[in-house]
Amino acid sequence: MKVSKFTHGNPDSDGEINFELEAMIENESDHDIEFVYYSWLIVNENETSVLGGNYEDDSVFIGAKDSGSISLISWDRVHKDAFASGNASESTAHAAVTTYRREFVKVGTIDVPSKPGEMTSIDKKISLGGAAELMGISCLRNKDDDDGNMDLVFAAGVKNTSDDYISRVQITMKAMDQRDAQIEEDVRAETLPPKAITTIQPYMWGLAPGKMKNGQFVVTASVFLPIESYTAEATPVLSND
Amino acid sequence: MIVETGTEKDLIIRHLKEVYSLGCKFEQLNRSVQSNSSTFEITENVLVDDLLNFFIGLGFHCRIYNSEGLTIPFGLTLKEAKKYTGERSDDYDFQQLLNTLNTISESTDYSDIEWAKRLFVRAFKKAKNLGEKELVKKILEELLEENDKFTDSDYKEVIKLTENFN
Repeated sequence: MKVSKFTHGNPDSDGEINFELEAMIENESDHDIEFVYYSWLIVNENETSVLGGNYEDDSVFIGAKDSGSISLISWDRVHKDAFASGNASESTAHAAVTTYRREFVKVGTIDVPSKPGEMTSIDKKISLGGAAELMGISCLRNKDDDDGNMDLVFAAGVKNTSDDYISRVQITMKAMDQRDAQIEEDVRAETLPPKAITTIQPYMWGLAPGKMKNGQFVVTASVFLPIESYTAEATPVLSND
Repeated sequence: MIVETGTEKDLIIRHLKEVYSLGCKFEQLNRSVQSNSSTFEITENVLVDDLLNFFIGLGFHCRIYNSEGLTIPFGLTLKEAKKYTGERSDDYDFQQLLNTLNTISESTDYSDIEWAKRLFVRAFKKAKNLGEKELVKKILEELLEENDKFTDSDYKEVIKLTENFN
């Protein structure tokens, strides 16, 4: 990772200084980058922390063996009093970026519970990219609402069987009618530290039983697995803007 | 929908799902409520950024996402967010590479010349027509002009490496 742009502005009328930081990543792996987690810290001339942030970005795409830019700081500001000199020219940014690939898995289908109190399920363990294990999924039909519509609670337990930090594990649940037309959907995601377990609970409400007669819930999962971690340090230059 | 300090998050989640087909996940921030405004009206013209900032004022971080789980860009309104697919154009890779090359050429002290050369060769390879090739060449010439570390022999080396690309 190379810092391609790190600028600071002059203090504005409120004394706030604006920073912009961009970095370039060369993806030397055989996987496409589809997610990044990044964090940064700005220290003043005494190397004391004055501003920081950590974010995730799932809009990024850098193909295998390709390069791309990512914006790490775009509108973050710190007051000039954080610097003895009153400006940010002697500050330093410390940045860390981890890139992730996406593994997509077609999990299977779940029947629609025929009456309140009934539960349907997928009763098997499913590997998610070799790094996590989906411990089956249940679908419990609660008491119907006052309009006679279904209220459904799903539970999908996922174990991280690897030593990697899985930044996002995502379950997508689509309610399909008997003609395979989509009626409703719900997508939920959680983070999953190494060896940890999480339970993802999609939820559907207001589903008319008639519409879902002979229908099914189609389940897919994605896990975002780390490719590479990078760190960089940089000193800003005064922005031309 | 009018959101107030005490509005149940579940009601907000349901509203965004039912009206805008958007998912929403809240995380409690480790700080007290500092909002300047105690109410916020959610309409189709509201910017995602404004909504998220209102939630931050209430002490919550919120991620708003589409049916593929992709985070909605901050600059979209809820009406635009409803249609957001995150699709990339056919020349997305090339455009991204051009952005990177522009950043390199704008920097007067970019020092990793070998990497820059590699990126330019890659861009020439990805260019699909004469116009795109000319665009890459123009940025390469700007780099030669602006950056003392990028020498004439570096320029000639890139041109030589790419002259056989169709």
